[in-house]
Amino acid sequence: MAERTASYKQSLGSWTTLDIVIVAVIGVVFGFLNSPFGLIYQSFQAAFGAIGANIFGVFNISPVLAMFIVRKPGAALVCMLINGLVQMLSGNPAGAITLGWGVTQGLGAEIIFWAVRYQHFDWKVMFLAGAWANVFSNFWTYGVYGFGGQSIQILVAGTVIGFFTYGVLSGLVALAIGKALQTSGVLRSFASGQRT
Amino acid sequence: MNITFATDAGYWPWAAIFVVLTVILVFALRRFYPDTSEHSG
Repeated sequence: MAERTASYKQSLGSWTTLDIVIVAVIGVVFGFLNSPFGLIYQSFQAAFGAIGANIFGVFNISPVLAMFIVRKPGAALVCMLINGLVQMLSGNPAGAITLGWGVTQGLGAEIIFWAVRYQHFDWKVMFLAGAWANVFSNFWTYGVYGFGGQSIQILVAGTVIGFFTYGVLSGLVALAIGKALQTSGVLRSFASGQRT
Repeated sequence: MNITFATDAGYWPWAAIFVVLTVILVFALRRFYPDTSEHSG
């Protein structure tokens, strides 16, 4: 039993080439997707401030999906760092602000998967990962967009709304994509193909 | 880049609340999602 635990812990630390490639690909693909989504985000944000910034919750699909597939420490953070860089380079209207989102959203998702020891990927964990990534990133968003002048009630309401929109539109959507990929059998080479 | 936050005390009250919530969440997740590596294989 101790050997199994040691072997499991060893497998957590060892990234395969496939793991690295798939995390990078997900980061790049969703980075390109997030740039046009950024236009929609900016519209909501400009119209409704801190609450509008939390309505369109699709930006955290990639770190949650990458972790669902690879199941190795750092997958969510690395994926989101790549995502943020690609968003900046591919013309997201937010510009270099996306780098801050890369760090904060990646860390927010990562901390949830770390808390469950990279072993559990049910809908509650996936929802929380997408949601908490947004809660974490709100510190960056509220700061750089100068929402400090708004009331505490609005800032808290925005965070609570974002918790649910990102939980569903990022966490649960990533779970649906991951489950569909699992069913299709293309994840056989990854940890997610061996454990449900 | 002008970074401002809602309270007069600035960033730290928000950061403190967030850190406390995160610690509670992590403890709750650790409690409700036990380590299954010893039983898997």
